[in-house]
Amino acid sequence: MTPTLFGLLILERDPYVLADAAGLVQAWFQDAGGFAAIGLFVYILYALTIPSEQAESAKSRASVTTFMLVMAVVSLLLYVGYVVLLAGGKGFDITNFRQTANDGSFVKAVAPKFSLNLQPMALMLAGLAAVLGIGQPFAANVLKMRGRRIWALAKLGFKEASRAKLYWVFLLFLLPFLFPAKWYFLFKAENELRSTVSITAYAMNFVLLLPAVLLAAFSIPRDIRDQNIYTIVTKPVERFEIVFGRFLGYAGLLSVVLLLMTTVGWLYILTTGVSKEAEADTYKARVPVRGKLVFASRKAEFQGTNVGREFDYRKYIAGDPSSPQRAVWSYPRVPNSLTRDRDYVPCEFTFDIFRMTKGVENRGVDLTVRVTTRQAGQVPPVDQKDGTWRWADDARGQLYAKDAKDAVRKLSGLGPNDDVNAEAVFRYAEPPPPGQPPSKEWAALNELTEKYGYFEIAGKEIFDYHPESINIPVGLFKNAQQPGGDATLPAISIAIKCQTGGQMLGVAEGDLYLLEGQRLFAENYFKTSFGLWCRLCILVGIAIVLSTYLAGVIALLGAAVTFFCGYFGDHIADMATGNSSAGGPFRAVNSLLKAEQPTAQADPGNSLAKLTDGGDLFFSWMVRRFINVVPDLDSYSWTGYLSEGFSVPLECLAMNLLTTVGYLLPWFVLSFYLMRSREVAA
Amino acid sequence: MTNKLQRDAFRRRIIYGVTIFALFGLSMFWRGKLAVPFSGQVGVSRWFSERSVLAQAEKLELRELDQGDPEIAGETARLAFVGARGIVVTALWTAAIEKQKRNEFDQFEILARAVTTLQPHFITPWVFQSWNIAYNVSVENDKLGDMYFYIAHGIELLAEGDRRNSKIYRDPGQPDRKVGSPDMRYQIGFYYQNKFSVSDKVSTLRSLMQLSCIKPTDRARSRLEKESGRDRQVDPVAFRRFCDANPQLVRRLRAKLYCDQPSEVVQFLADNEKIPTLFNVEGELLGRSQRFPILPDQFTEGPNEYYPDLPVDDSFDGFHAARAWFLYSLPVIPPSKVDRGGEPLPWRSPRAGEYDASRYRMPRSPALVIFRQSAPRAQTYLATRLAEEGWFDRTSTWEVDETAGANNRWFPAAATGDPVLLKAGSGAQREWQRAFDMWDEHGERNAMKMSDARRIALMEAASPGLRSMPSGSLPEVSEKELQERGLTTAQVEANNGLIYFEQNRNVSNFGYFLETANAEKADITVQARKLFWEAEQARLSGRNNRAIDLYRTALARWRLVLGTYKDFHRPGNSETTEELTYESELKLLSLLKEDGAVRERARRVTEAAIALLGPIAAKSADDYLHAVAEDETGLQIAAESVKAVYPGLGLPPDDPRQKAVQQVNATQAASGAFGGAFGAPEVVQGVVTRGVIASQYSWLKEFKTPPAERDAFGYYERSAYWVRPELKDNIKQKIGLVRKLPVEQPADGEAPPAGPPGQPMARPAPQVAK
Repeated sequence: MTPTLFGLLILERDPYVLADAAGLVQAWFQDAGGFAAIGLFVYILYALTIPSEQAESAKSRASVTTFMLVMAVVSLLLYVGYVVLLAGGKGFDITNFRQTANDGSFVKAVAPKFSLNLQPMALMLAGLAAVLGIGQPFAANVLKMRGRRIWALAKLGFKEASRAKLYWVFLLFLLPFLFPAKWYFLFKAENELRSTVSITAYAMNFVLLLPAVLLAAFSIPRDIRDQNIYTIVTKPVERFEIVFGRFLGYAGLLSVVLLLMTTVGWLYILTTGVSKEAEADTYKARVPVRGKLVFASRKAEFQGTNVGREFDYRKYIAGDPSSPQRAVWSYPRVPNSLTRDRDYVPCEFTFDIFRMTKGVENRGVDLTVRVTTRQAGQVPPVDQKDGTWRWADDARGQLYAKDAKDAVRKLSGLGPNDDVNAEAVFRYAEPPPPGQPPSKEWAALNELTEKYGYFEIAGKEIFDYHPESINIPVGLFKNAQQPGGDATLPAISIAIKCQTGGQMLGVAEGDLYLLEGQRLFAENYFKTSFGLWCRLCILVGIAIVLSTYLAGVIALLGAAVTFFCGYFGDHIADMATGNSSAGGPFRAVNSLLKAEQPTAQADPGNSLAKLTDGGDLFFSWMVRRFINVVPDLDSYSWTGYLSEGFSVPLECLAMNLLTTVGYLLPWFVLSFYLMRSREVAA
Repeated sequence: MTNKLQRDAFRRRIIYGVTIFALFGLSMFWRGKLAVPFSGQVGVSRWFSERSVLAQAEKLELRELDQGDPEIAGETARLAFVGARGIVVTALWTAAIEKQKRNEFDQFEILARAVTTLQPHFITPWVFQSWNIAYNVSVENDKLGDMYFYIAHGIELLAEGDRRNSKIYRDPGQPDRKVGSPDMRYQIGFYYQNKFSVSDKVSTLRSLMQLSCIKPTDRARSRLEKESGRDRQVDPVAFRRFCDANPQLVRRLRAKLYCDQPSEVVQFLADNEKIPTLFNVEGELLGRSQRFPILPDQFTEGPNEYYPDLPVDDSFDGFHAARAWFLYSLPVIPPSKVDRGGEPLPWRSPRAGEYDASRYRMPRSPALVIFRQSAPRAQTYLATRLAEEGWFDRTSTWEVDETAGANNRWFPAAATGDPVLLKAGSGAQREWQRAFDMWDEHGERNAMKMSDARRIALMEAASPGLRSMPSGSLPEVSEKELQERGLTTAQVEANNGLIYFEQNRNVSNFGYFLETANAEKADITVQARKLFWEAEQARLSGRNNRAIDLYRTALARWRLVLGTYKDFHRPGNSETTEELTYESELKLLSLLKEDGAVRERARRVTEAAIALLGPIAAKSADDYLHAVAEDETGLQIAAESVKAVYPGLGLPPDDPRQKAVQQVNATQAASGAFGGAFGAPEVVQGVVTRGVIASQYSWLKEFKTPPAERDAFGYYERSAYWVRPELKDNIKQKIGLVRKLPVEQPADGEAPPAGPPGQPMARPAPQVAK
């Protein structure tokens, strides 16, 4: 296969994969269940307190079944059980417990894992009961739904939107292509495609989302105002069919538009062409195999150094020949695809260099990359001045050194007593071009790595944020698939050492990966649009649900605020966890009134400070509830993948679909009750 | 029209139509789109005409076209945002900073440019974001091609800001002028000067800038290489042609960037094939706004400077661009104050209301007195750069393979024939001459220079009979108040002018720059500089004996320069010249410490000391060697002066230096009476010279002139010293020859003795590094 080159993707969180589904479902029951429980209890209280003199239709709109009552009781008992566990400190969720960094630096967000501990299970089951309780009438209604009716309503929505001549607005999307950004901005050649993709993505978001929310928020209120709704509700249709049909109609229209826009964008790139540099850099879809990053040094507790950069995504290791510090990417298993039909596996990396000294003009820093399998376990050096990690099994290490020298002697035709530098010879061994047999050096290296599971490249020069790559002989991966070695070690470890003294090397998990292969850019381009499609569905869904009860403008504002809060997920998360540097709103007001710096330490003995801290704690709690209502828009953004030339995994798109359904489901349940509560739709 | 209602409706339509048409027509006059009839003749019409929207907008220079080059897309975007522009700009700014933190510079730049596009007449974002790109972003790139790219983009952004904000000022009878922000123009000049003169990566950045000025077709790898079997090799003929056209570039690549082989030069060119440049790939000039290095439009207010259509060659560098932009910034700042006689008067920066705000702008930084001298300062940098790179005068050449071995000759074919010599289009001497002219002109124009007659006149005007500086400034109050205090405006101006003269010179260090340019342009200085350069090259290439000879000769000539240009030696507050002098002397000293004869002399001294003081004296062997070498340094420089420099000066007989020459000649003549008994004549001359200096003229080793009496601190008069003793230790510390002693911690945890309030603690004595 042809090795592809270079890409840098900032991965502040891993995308959801199928393996995360169980954990996400559990978290969904916990969060959505909480809202469902509140809804259920409120609904039951409301239904039970309807005065007897109310009209029959009003009573029928608020019927309570035995199942709902049972589920409410079950849910209540489980929540009580959860509170007891919480108070007693029992059954804590150890699986998802993550310690925050001591120095307050970046901690990568991870998907929740399914936990069998008592607290999370109690919470999940309580939520499940509440969901079942509140969802029972909804489910009964859904069972009555018929595709023919839904299709008719969807068609109606589609036609309504088409008749509104909405598609003219979408022509705005052509502006970035009629007046391309490169007319106004001078890009570096390799950034050309990145910039085009980013600008196109901004334009698509803007041109699609704004009309979508306008369309969805005003349609039902307008129908009710104009009394057109009676032409529908007087027909034998289920209440939820009106909502769902409208949702499908609008989503369908917008999907067609999205498809057209994506096609136009792709055709633009295809027909205008990209520069040679951009093509080499980003006009592709790499399929990376990512490992897990750990830091290692003589001290076991070494976690990388925070050098104080504002963007603390990366941690740093010290550079020096005598430095024992390593950034190690570990792979618990080796995919078969890495050993099939190939002579080598490219390993690409891009790091940050934090310079403590000026260094040498126009020179980067040197790295040593050591790749080992579990059969070549490494341990840190004991001697303080020694920066070289050694083999856990010394005898095997010596055997490797001897065999390496013998191999080089054999290659060079030297005698057994001639001194050779095996590292230097193998350093310059090149893998064969596609379809050609390997060189003698490469074949020897391959054999050696397959036998020992050890490969090292020293003196690899890298520059700040400039991607580099090495080629790892496939023999090493074959070795990793063989049984034997220390089972506690990962199948493959890639250890990076910075050799240049006085410099720090900044690394993050996404900075290094093994390259499995590459896919087509066009395929990736269209896959990327799926994320935007999910966003569209979410926005249309929220707007339609809110419009079933609220006036058009209010529904518009509600949907827009809820949705666009999703773009500030990080900030809201900071507020929810109390990590905001300026504190919460109460402390901020206190600081403002007292003209204090936001970073000033609060006096712990001050009663006002205690009061504001208490207020902020309550605020954080509120935000934590609110954050569950806000869609996680980041998880639907694949523009970074596309612009950097990384393939969007299909399983991640499947998870996008799952989370979209999971997010919209509670909204649809809400819409069912809201529609039912309106007399017009009775 | 059958019924009344229809007729009424028709009448209403007619009335509405006529009213609309009339109002629209009137609005055209009111807006100024149509000229008011008889506006040139009738007073009322003229009154209305002058109050039309267009006339008022033109008068107040509010039209978009008056603000600078308009930009349709930006203007459309601004209008499209209606009242939300501020919110959008704030969001874009925040997003840009976030992208910068994440090193996503491509997106950062788009956002930063969007910010400036949306508020093109707000100067601060242009300056801030251009600085951000040229400095903060560029240094995040280790690859210097990338660093250069962002420096260029920072400069281009600011140049665009200048175009957007340079409005036309129309002065009846005068050519139109472009009045813009002096801050933007100054900052562009400063970026050029700063990034291509004092940054850490200056050699590469300078070279890249030169590549920007070469047509891509002329520096293409394919043009410099030819097929050789399966490979491609550097074509010697094409490479020679390239070297001839770009001597400064190739010399720097070899000397500073270690391109030892022609292939490495070609590789450098290939690595940096795509950089911001003046040309497109076909070698044709790009549009003016797309070129880099970007230059100001041709302007008439100053001397002829580089402008976009002027061809540039290998001698063009960042200082030329900086100088052009600095000069371009001068016409838009208020002119210097002149007194009633029309002569420039030293003065402070003008305050609001003291200058015509429609023609001039006050820069926010730096101080006006420094702002005004930026162009000659750039010229000084340019001359210094040429001297540092070995281009001294029009005879200066570079022998390409002078220090090359057999393996790294660029032109092996010339090994047996004439060496390949490259000659630059310009030399330091010519640039120093121009620097002097510029400093002198700046001094004259802005009253930084003052003749004795002018000074006396001002003193007389300030206070009759005044013979020194005024004791204090006088208040600048109204004429009436001055009269009440018994003062006149002329008196205040003269008094304060004298005070501002001293202040302005001190703040700007004008005296140093003027005297430096004056001395450096002289032939004797250029000769000395050349010798220093050659000596340093010899030292770096390990040819110690040659280096000693050259340093000795250079220092002897340098002594002459310092004697001839007394103000250059110690100009104002600067110690630069003395530092250079002593650093060169120390280099000679370190070379002499390796010299066999000196080491032999030091050995004998050590043996004598051991004989006298016992074995403990052996520990000071290094100190003895240093002392002997130090003595030898002074002796050799003095001897060289007496032998080679002073005889050619035509000094009067009573000059102490001439006496030394005469004494040497007389002694040598006396020794000549013994025939060749004392050895060869040149050996005798050396011995005699050293003997005469050591016995009778030892002051020559440390002083320029015979020292007078010592002061209370045991020092002689400062001006007599070659390098002042108190400065020597500072210089040794600065170059790392000695280090400070660590401050001793007081015993028993006592606090260290406190110094007097506001005064620094006394420094401990330095120690010679082992």
